[in-house]
Amino acid sequence: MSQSPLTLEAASREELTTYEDGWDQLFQRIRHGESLSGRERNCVFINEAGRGAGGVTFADVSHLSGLDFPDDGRGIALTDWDRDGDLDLWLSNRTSPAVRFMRNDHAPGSFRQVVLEGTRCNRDAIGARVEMVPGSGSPAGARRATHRTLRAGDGYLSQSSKTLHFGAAGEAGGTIRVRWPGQDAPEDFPLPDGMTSGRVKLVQGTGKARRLDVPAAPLPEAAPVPGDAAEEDLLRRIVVVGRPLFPPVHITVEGEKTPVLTPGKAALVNVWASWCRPCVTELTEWRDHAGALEDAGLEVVLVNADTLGPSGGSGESARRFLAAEQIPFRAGAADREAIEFIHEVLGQVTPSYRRPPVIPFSCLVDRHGQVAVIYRGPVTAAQVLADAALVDMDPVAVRSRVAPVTGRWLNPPIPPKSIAVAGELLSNGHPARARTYIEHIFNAPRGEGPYALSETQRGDAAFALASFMLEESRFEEAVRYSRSAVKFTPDDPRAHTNLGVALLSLGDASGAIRHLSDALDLQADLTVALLNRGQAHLRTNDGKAALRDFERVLELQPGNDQLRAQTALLWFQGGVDERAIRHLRYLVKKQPDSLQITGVLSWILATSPDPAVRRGEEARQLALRWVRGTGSRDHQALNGLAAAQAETGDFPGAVQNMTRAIELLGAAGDPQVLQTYRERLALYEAGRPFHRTK
Amino acid sequence: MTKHFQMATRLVAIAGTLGLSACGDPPAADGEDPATEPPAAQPGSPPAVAEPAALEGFAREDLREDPGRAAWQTEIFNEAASGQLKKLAATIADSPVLEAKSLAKFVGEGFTTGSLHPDRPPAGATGAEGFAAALNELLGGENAAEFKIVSVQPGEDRVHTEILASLASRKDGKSWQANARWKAAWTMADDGPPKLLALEVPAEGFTFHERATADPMFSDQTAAVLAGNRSYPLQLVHGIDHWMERMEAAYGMDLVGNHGVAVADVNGDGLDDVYFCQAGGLPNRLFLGQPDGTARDVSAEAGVDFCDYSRAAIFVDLDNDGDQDLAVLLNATVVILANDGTGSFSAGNRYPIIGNATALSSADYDDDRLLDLYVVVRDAELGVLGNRLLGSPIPYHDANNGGPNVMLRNEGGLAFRAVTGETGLDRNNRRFSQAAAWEDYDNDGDQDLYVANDFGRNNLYRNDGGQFTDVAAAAGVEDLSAGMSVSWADYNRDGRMDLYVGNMFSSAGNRVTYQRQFKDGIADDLRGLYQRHARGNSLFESVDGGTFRDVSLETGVTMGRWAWSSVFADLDNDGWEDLVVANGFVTNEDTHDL
Repeated sequence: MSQSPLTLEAASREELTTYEDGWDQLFQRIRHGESLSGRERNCVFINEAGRGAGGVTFADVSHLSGLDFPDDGRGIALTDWDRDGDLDLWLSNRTSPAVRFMRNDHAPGSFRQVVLEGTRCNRDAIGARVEMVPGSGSPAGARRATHRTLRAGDGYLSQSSKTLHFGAAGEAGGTIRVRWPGQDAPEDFPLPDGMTSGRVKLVQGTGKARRLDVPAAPLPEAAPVPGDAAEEDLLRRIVVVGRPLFPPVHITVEGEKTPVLTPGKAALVNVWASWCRPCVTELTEWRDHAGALEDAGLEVVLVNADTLGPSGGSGESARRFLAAEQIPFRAGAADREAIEFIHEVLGQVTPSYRRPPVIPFSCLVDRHGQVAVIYRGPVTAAQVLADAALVDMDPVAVRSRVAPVTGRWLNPPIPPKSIAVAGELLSNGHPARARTYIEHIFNAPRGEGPYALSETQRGDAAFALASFMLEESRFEEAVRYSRSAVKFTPDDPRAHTNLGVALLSLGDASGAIRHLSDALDLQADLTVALLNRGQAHLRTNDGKAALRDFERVLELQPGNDQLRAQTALLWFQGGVDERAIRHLRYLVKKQPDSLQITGVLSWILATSPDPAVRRGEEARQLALRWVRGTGSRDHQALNGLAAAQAETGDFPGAVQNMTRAIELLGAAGDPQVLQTYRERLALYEAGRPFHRTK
Repeated sequence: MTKHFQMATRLVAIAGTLGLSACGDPPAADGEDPATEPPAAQPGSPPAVAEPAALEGFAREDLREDPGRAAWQTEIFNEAASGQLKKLAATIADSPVLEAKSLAKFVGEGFTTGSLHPDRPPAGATGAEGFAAALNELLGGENAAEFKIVSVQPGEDRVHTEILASLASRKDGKSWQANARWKAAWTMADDGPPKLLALEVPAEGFTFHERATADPMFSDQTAAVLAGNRSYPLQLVHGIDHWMERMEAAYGMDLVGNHGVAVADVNGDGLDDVYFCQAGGLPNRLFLGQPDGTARDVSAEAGVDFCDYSRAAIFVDLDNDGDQDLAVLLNATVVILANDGTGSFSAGNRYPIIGNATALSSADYDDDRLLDLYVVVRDAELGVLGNRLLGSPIPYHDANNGGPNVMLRNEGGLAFRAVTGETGLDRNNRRFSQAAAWEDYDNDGDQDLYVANDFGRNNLYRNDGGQFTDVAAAAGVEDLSAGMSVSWADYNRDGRMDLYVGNMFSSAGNRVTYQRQFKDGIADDLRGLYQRHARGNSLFESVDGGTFRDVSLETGVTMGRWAWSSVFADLDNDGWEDLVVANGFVTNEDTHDL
């Protein structure tokens, strides 16, 4: 992938785009089946201090741990789940299985477990520091105190048991010293007499450790995990809540191209081929329920893929089959593009369905032309008829009924995002399809009910189309689409921005300012709108307003050097040398090799009408760099150096360099410039510096 | 993905007096690639299909082409040598006693090796015989081996590598594992795979651990605990990839599959219970621990079977009434649920978070007896719900353009107020954070906070009376690496809390960043930063309660791979904290690893 810009400030738009593309590409590749640090085995390191090694080091015992699965592991929660005196683990994984319970089979030595209850701190006593102080009877090696803190939430996305566990390695007796959160003095809890292992509860302020009786739980023998019969169905039938539009594809019926869908009508669309036996079986079964399908309000449309078979095909055998079997449905042939288009749109419904098309496949389409149910593989008419009831059902109800595993939802269903499908088509490298699909969204008929295409979707589509037009310099169309976008999504600052940019491109600066201001009212830090409005202000000769916008952009994008240079020049032209100088100094520091910037800054510093701003010596140093950088062959640079020298009082030097500048310009040079240079030379010869007038 | 239909950013040029060109952004260039022609259908006769038939010519696009790879000669060598080592590992695992002839293909002429255990005398022989003798001396039972090349340096007539070698064996009621950083010289690979010429096992970095049992420390008893529940086979035995093909994208499901786990005694019966967070469309699951050690799924009746996209949850008593309330991340919202004392929950206040909220950690930061919540936020965008997988950190190794983390103060009555700014926690808090954990690291009685950041330096916020200062730099724990996990414990039992940070170990990163052409022209210190970025997990030893010493390398705990939860735990009951690391990013069907 592309390398990261080194700072956000320095990042140009191009760099950022390349870099972000890099991230997107990386994830596209993963989504298309590649691994990234996959099959890595969990690691376990044993603290070797307990074995009497000098110092504390760890030994990697991953192979001996029983935890070294190649899972994509995520969370780890610690608990003595079976209460046998050692720490077991609950793991969460990205890969299968999503969870694991790992029992610690280590023959436990002695242990102490502590349950806390706060009375003057938070009741859970989160933040309590617990010190296990070994008794005097402990063996020499076990006389070191152990400290634990009770915590809620650590590791990665994990929370461990609030029962604190202490391995005790043969310690005898002792005291538990607790520093409760927010309390300065610790509280001591002597261990109950004779307790070597076990669990105690400590209540703040009692000073007494109460023993808890927690018998160990010998787990039953593991039962085999039952398989799930419904699993294949889950893969093969997808009921859709966030419905994308069915793509605007055509079939050829008796030599004539016609849209697959009839507007305003729900449909069952099927992709089949006559050489595919399951397809043929499916269609003959549907034929026998043609009346019921029609009564359910479904128009059955058969999209034939015969020509895409392993050996191609004329479509003749499809026609023969339909006639011979008296299949009563609307049928036509489709080309590869149409079938691929359908398959690709259907594939976007689930996040990673990246398989080649397998026929037959079908879908139920609602009366808005949106995909409501997908069938991968054959489906019975009975199933279709049952699903027909879902087509108009409220999305909340559909979601709670059809999810493979049900539960409650706190958030409303995410509205359908056909526009997101278009984005995926682009990502997959199909811009023409994406464009067609967006136009389809834009032109889709207005409908009613929970699945009607929202104005937001239409607005998003209009916005996308406007962006395409702008890129292609088709400004009138850009204005038209942008106006639609503004109408449908008046709260989207991007829509207003596009309209402003399009108008500006057509020369309507004041119109542009109006709409860009609307955009900025909605989102004050939208740099694109600020930049364009600044340019529009320049068009209307409102330099002050332009500068306000540019200065704001520079606050947001301090690394935008080109804009900074332009802004400096505007200040300079507006006679505010001080502001120009501030920007140019910043740029000179950042780009010391830029002769242009060095030269302009030198000139302003040497010749400003404002004596408070002039800096002769700084100007001279800069001008020297300018002259050296141009190999002493640039009359402008020498002119600049002369002005700076004159400002420092070095008139002989100024005269010499001004003379040289005039020589370099030559008699053939611009007569106006030559005249100016000669006047300056005279000024320097008279021992006076050159200052611009206000 | 997000960039499509970006703003068109066309600007009209204005003339600059000195020829400076107009500023502005170039137009978005999305979607201008020519459409790729679908490959032509292949000839052949129609098969007599009984199963649903695949259409021909729709081969998956091969996205594997990676122009960057070819630039790295050493990476090409690495691929060849790694292939050899993979075969070597398989050969070692195949038989308890290795024979010279099975090793001949891995060693070149005149191969020499010392003992594979630096404290033991060398076997003496050379060639394949010598290699077999050395391996047999160390192993000799049911063997396992794993190798990872972490450094490649081409020499005159050979290539020098450093290999993380992990060898284990179990036999006669014992098991042992040796880990070492082998220095290995290889033949140049012109024709055929490279072969080993010399092997040396330095004492530095060598560890050898023996257990008095041949059984592993842990056994998988998931089925024993969960098999009585329908949700286990239906839902939890599957990974994200299973659901990615079956569940609607709009539900909120992403392939990175970052979903957490929380353990607490939810119903107050003295037994721990466990709650799993799940991808959008799959309900979170609460299992109550039973006296016999099994667990019962009560997700629905407890009112916590949320299908919304959920990353993390924690159970804490937020109103000090003696039961465990629940704070759970659903989509990008913190939802507070009150426990009625029996383990039944009702949803209360919701706190929407700007950006992609990742994790939760709780402590009473202002000592008012009410537990507060720190919300860790990674991206500025909504992640899966915003149809984007990861943000674009800039710069990659030290970003500060992520989503802002949020401190929610408990105001009583299960209501919270964001106090990030007023507590000073708004500083340096947009670094693509992944994890946080509280600890009184300076032993002054209040709760300090460490935040692990994916693309920026980490934070150690010192708490001074409820006001926080990021002291990570001064304390020596910025840990410039891809932080994923935080764990505190006193690993050396000196009474001060030490810090283990889960990071990304990348053997590719290790190899590549040491090459000259890596970001040629960047300053050495920056190169150092990149190298550090790929080093792996970090262990920081608290020195004086204020500063820390980086002891990661000397204690040998960096190699946690692409680590997520990396936590201290006394696994063997000896009173000393061990470490356990869950790792691996994305495993796909394709074994080729990017």
